[in-house]
Amino acid sequence: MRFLIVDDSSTMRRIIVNTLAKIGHQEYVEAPNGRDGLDRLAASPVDVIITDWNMPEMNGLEFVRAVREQHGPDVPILMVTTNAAKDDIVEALRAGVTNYVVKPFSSSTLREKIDAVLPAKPA
Amino acid sequence: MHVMPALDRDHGIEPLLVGSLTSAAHEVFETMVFRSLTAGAPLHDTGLRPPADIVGTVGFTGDVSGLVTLYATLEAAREIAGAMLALDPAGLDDEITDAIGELANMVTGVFRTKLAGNGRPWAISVPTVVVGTDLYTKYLTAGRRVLRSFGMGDHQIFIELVVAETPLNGGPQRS
Repeated sequence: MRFLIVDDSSTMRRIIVNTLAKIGHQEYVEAPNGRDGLDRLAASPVDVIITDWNMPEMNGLEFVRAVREQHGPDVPILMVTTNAAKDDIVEALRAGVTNYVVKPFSSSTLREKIDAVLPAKPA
Repeated sequence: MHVMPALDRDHGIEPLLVGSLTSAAHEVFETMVFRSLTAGAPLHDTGLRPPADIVGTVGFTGDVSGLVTLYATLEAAREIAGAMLALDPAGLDDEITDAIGELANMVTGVFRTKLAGNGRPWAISVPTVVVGTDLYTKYLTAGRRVLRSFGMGDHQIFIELVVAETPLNGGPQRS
């Protein structure tokens, strides 16, 4: 399983990588903003995208919309952000986000959200 | 139309704001830094300069506007970063700055969420982090300030809340 982690904070990228490692996922690529994230995605496909909302160059919502436009509806996208208002969550879901994690989060919470968006394993 | 009272002329910044920020700090530190904080008494409009080698600031705006600032010594910041990143603190350098910025971002974000319970929109800025020695902040806009210390093991960090007496952007401008 290959992940794309998009966040302008190297700290948050590292925290997510650590959580992925704890649950057995070692393959990932990182991007510091949405525009770089699109470039990474164009270079090679991923199975799950984890993205922040507030980023320079291209923010998370713009990135999500671009992903859906360019790569379709199938790749799961998990948004990790401090934006916790109901309106924010609705806006993100409408943009094409699959699931939502509000900072701060425990590793178990992030794990549950990741498991919830992972593609179902074949029977 | 209800507007949250932010400033009490007799007691400084409204206790709900101070309590919400304190609660936010506890939540973020316990969840992301794996540290419990011991809050000191809030100090209103004090001239005290907290000892700091690194300062992280995030602005907010909504019913009221202001700033949340986190002050830490390098040693405290190094411990915080090491805990967040699950890395040996002794080996950290540039990572410390980003960690403090992200921490200030999360504390302010949780603070904003607590205040947004009345359904009114709030926003926070991108964090600014400054590293140096004997740092202090000075605000050009008139406002009230409350400073709170938090014990974190062998260290002490400070979180400051500044609330502007007028909107930070001065309100709508007319030509």
